[in-house]
Amino acid sequence: MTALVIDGLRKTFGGVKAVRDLSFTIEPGSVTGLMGPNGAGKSTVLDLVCGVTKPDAGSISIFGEDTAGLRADQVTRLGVARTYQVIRLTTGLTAVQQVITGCYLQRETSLLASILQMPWARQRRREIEDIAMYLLDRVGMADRADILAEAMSYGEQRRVEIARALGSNPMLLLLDEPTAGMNVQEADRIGTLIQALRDDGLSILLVEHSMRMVADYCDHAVVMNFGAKITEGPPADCLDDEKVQDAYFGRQRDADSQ
Amino acid sequence: MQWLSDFWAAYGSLAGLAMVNAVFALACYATLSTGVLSFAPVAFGAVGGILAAQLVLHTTIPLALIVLCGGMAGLGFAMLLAPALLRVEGHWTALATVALVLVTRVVVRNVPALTGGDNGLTVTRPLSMAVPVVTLLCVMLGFRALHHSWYGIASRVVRDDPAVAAGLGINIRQTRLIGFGVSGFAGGLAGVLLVLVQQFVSPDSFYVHVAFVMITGAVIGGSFHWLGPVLGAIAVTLLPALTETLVPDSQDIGSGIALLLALVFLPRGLFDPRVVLLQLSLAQATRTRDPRYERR
Amino acid sequence: MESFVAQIVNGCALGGIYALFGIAFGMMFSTLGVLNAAMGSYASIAAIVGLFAADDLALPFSLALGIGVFYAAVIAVLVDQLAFQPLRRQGGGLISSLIASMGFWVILDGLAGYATRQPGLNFPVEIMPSFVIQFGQVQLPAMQIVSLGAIVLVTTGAYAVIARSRFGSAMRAVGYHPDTAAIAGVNVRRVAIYTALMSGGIAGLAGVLAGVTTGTFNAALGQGLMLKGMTAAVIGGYADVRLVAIAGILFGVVEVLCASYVPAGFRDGFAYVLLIGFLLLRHRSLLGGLRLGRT
Repeated sequence: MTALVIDGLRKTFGGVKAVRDLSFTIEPGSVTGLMGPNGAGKSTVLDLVCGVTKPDAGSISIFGEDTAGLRADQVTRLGVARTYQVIRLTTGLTAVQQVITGCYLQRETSLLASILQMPWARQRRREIEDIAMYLLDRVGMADRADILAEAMSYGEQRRVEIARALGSNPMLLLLDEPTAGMNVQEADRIGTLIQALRDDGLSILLVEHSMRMVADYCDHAVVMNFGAKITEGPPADCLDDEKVQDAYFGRQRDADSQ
Repeated sequence: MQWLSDFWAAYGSLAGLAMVNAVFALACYATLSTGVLSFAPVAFGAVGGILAAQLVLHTTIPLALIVLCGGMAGLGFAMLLAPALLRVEGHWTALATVALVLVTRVVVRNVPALTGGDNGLTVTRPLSMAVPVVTLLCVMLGFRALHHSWYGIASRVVRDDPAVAAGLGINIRQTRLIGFGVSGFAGGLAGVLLVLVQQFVSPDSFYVHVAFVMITGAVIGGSFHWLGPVLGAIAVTLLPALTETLVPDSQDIGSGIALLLALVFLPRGLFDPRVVLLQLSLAQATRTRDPRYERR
Repeated sequence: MESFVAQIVNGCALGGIYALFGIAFGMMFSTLGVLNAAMGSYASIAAIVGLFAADDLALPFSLALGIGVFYAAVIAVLVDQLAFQPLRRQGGGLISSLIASMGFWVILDGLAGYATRQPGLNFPVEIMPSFVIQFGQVQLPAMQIVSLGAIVLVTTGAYAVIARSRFGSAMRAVGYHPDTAAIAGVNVRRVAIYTALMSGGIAGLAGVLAGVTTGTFNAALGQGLMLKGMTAAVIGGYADVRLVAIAGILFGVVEVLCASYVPAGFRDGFAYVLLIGFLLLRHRSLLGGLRLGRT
């Protein structure tokens, strides 16, 4: 079943058309790059998919379920997880605790059992801790599990955030510029991780500003500008597309021809 | 040395009051830890306290059961109010609960059958110090258990960033409803204790000053761990007694100043586990930092 | 019939005082984002200082009123600069400023209680303006005229400042988004000081008038006034002074009319029930244009 179907999506903020008639789909087990210059409406699309903001028109369905009328937490329960463009980790929690918050949907015990610390609740709690450690290990942060997120470098925080997103055991992962501000080596580590997650069967929407990341790590690309899709297809073709070049580098040829 | 002996003479009832206020402060912390400032525990306390007064006067139920009844009554009242209060955005909830405190007093004054009206009711039941001590300890244990439960973990995210919490699948409304339930139960218990410790209930027992002590305790003590409000409430109860010996008639002015100083200079309160954690983390971070992934 | 008209006028005068307070409260909230629980204390202090001026210094009523208003305004600026300004700089948000204002509420009420040490205070009758104007069958006592005049003057004045003046546009800019306003060249601190000065003064005016109208008052005068003024501000929707004024006046009229039918003890409860009801029911439309998304 298709991981994500976006059809005729439209969103206006006080007269600014942030998203106009956007449609695309994500095949299961693939990495789709959503790219475009700054202000193209990429993050707005993520917010709409997650149910943080409601679309003015159009529909979104995740693994065949229409998300219209669902709250953000209900959308998450359909198997969606995300990271944020500006890191939003919880203050005062260590790396492993951050990932445990991400495992909320896997808690499996009733509130009362959890409060009374029943044996099975303790058991589940230990399992969750193991899951969290495993996920930290996956993003290469196992040795920093007990460090407060605030005390970490920027790149490390990004990786903790990805581990937290994986905590809910999602089927569709939305990454909002996970490599922004990183150097090439760090970005490549994230790229390798993304491909490993895809090979595990996750469907991934990678919002990216960087053409290189999309070219190197995505199976499919969607390019937006001014809230509308300008093209989509295999990443290499998209990047060569004239309209994409225009969107990113300005209308150089127009200026030349005049 | 006269003031010293006076101070000790007053200390006994103060200790009882300090414990009552600690439970009130924990009731306030219960919602605050989900990101909702609410003064409703005053009203929950009134419900629990008045019920307890009636039970003491008209029945011979053992005290432990009366205390429990008060807690349940507070819980019930909280679950009745919470859905309405949570419809409103954060600071409006705070304001609505301030109004609730004032309405409570009007109601209490005007139903003399229950409360004795303006004159109040004397509640005569000899009270051993064990009752407030045991209750406070039980409440603290309860909060410790909550802190480590999945609700405790979820509430920290909800308070820090509700949008992120929703993104993790946490039902914000449900988390806050649980917070209100805990607040109602603790508030009800605190109300019973207040009546039992003071052996008296009147419309002024549950009024703005309780709300003030509650919030001051939580802010000064620190509202990021359950131990903070307990310490804060005890400090806030003892502080007026101290300032009174230095400046007579100073009332709550000292607490007010302490509250303001804490807000500006100690925004996370006296007891903040994060401070220690941050020091440890920074030490460990510099020790184990991997130079390959360093950005700067 | 005359008595009914007299009651309406009476309600308008009383409601005018609530409306004054509501305007002060709403101004502070819509411009600086502070729900100021200490504002009732400004009113109490203005009434007490006004009484001292009238009683001990034997000043005429108009001067005593002016001194009370001046005191309240100065205290409002002090509170703003001592508590709200540091919190603004830290980005403390609405909740922390609300808590800070509760701190000042207790401090100021404590000081006011300390200063008076008396259960009941009275403005001396002989210095009051005591003329009566006759409108057909209806008599208008001087104090009612003063209250009605005050609300009309303050409403038009505040509206002129906020909606028409250059400073008013700075106020609205700060209310909309302080950081953006600062970038656009607005001196946010100056706006904060003048807003606190104005709202403190208006709250003080309400306090003195309430003190005179109530007859016997004490340091808790401001508490009751605050709840009713706040109700007016909530019903009127904060941002528009004209609506707040109308809401306050209507509230006063309804209260006076209700007094004939509702048991005395529940009369105050009525105000609070109205306040809670409006807070819970009208919150969406109320919050519409204001910046309240963040905590």
